[in-house]
Amino acid sequence: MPAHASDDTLAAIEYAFAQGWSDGLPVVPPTAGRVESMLGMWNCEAGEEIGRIPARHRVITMQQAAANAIMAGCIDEMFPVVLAAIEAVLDERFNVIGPTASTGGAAPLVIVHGPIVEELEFNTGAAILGAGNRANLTLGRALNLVIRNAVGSVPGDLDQATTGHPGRIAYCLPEGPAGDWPPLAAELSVPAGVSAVTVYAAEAPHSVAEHATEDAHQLLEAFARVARATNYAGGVIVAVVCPEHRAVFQAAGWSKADIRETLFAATTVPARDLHHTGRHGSTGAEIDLVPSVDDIWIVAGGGPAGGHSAIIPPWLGSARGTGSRPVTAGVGVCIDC
Amino acid sequence: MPIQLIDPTVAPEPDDYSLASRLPIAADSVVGLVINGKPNADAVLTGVADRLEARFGFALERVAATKPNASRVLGPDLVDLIASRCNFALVGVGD
Repeated sequence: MPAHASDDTLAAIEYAFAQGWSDGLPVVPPTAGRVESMLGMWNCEAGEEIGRIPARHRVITMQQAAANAIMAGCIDEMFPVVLAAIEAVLDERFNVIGPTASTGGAAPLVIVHGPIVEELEFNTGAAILGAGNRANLTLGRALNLVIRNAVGSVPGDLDQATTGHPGRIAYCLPEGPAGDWPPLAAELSVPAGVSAVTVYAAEAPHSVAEHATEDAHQLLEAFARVARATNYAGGVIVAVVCPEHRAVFQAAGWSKADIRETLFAATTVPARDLHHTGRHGSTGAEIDLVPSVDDIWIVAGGGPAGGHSAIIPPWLGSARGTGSRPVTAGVGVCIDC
Repeated sequence: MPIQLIDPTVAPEPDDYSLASRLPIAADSVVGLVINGKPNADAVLTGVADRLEARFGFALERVAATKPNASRVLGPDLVDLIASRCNFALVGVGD
């Protein structure tokens, strides 16, 4: 049933603000006609259940998913990608009420894999994690609006993020071309030619700025410095490797596996170095900041100019995967059925 | 022409829980300490149990149920432990 009848679009936007539906930015009014159109395009029933959040006694339906996707500015073609992202965050392994309620202030990073990246014109180049592209921003925003309006993690209420970060507005990482590097999708067992999303509870991206060296070991140490300084949770870390940095590694003959293994070794630290986090002892015993080599995920992306890569650390509460694990879901297809 | 909007929010489903009647607490009562996994949660709950014993004037048998992660709900095995062994339980957050 329609919730409200408004006289014009601007009044509808103001109504959405007044109802608390917005993330702080104006939303596209989720009109009954637009919701019906989006659902109709994909033969979805408004009342069809997508998933449940048992701890909050909530059931999310197609109608709410579409309404939030429309508010975020999504085109109808984006809806299956939004549904895949919702499916992933509702997976028990992701544990949506943890990272979206925590003082740690994580945000759901949506990594997009496969043909859909090109089909929906996601940006994998300059400002890949920044502003300027509708697909990147509306997908990330749609998921965050679902978390606000359907999951119920409203900042200051059930979302108690101490500072939070801008990824709680929109946080999207489409996987771009990687030359002879295998895509992350393949490493996550997403079949070739299948589109999918992986949702990961993440802190903000931290810059790996290295412009001078052409030595792969020195460059790797730049990544390791950032990883050591930011990954005190003990979970998956994502390294977004820019083209200039990729060229250095590839010129040295380093594969993704070589980078992972070297970075893993370089992110083993004495426990006393992490005593300030309150999560480790004060001894000299060594701790692997990343639980395993396979928990270092490498994604190629970014603009052609500049030595700026990024390390994206996990939510503090990931706690070596006991708090939250990244979850992959197929777009319009089940990839683990 | 009026614009009709679809409500994007999800309201919690009404539950049918009601408060249990108060049970008498005696010297043979068993208290469950549901430790939520945060640092020092056990210290908080142990302190509360100590205060209760001082107030009652007798000791209680204590059963601890420790969650492996604070953000996860209490698992069914621990719920069963509390339900089967305890007369009442204390739940709290320490950090």
